[in-house]
Amino acid sequence: MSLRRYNELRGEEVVYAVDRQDRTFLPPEDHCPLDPTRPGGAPTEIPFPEFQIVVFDNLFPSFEAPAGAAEVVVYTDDHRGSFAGLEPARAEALMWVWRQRYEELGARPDVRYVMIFENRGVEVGTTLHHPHGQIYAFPLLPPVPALELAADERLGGCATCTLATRELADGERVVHVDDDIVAYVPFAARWPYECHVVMREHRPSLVQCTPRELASLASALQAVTRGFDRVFDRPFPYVMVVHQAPTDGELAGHLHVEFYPPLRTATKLKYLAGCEQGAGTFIMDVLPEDSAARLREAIG
Amino acid sequence: MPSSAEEPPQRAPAEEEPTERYGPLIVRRTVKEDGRALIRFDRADEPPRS
Repeated sequence: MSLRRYNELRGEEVVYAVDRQDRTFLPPEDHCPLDPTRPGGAPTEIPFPEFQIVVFDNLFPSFEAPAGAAEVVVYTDDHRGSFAGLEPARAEALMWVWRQRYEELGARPDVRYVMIFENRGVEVGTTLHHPHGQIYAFPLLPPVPALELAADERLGGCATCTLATRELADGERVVHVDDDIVAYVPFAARWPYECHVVMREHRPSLVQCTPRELASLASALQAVTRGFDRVFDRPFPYVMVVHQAPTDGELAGHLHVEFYPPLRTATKLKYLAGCEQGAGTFIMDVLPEDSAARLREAIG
Repeated sequence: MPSSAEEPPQRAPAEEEPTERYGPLIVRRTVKEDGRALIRFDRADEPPRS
């Protein structure tokens, strides 16, 4: 069971999930717990010889009932696959899985915010190579979505709508656009290749999206992640986070997906060092317009 | 012919029985041996892999 303490200086909750210290760490491929359980083979987390998408309770949860939940989302039984490499129908199905989990977890009285995310690559701390995502159902409203709600108030309406409209009008940082989606490196990106994939219509969450919009979202996310892999001609590490409305009442928020990739060159990482950690101010080596041009070309 | 009372209807194994539909997905819920929940999502129209 995790423990929460309030950090008075930062005005934020810190979660202590000390059992996670012993979680599985980069096991060899033949001991992958996210592979299917093959006939005659050792049992894994997934007791089927093949599967499309499975979701299960994390063995080492950061949150668990009656104060939230932590789940693992395995969207392929191909150990060496990736989200970018999924068949489009599978990627679209994953959008529906995210929607179902958001809806079901969000309906729980102990859940205030549902965060769906993927850490891809050891550079961002993944502990299992098999492609997978995670879901944290928070019993609290974390700082980032709270800041997004504060931005709504500051801008006098949906901040994400406002920013997406600005980016579309400017166009210089847009890397992908269709009838439903616009993707861009934001004007004040905090990572060299940060990218936001945004619903063009105001949709608080996946639940309000039409089936076509879900398909468009899957397609856009795959376009961006395939482009990432082409930027430096190598698997591109990233943190991918689905931002949606809090689930504790008011439908405030705007569905979008943010990528935080740590690479600034093919071999160099952007670290959160003194200025970022001590002052909270990001110092960037790359202008968003330049990284957007490179990413746009890579997406094609 | 045996009556229906003598021969209960055949049931498919639980694993093969769709329990819910959600959009294009068939949703099957199970509980792992250690008590953790597991949900299997299959797209009804996705062809099996060769």
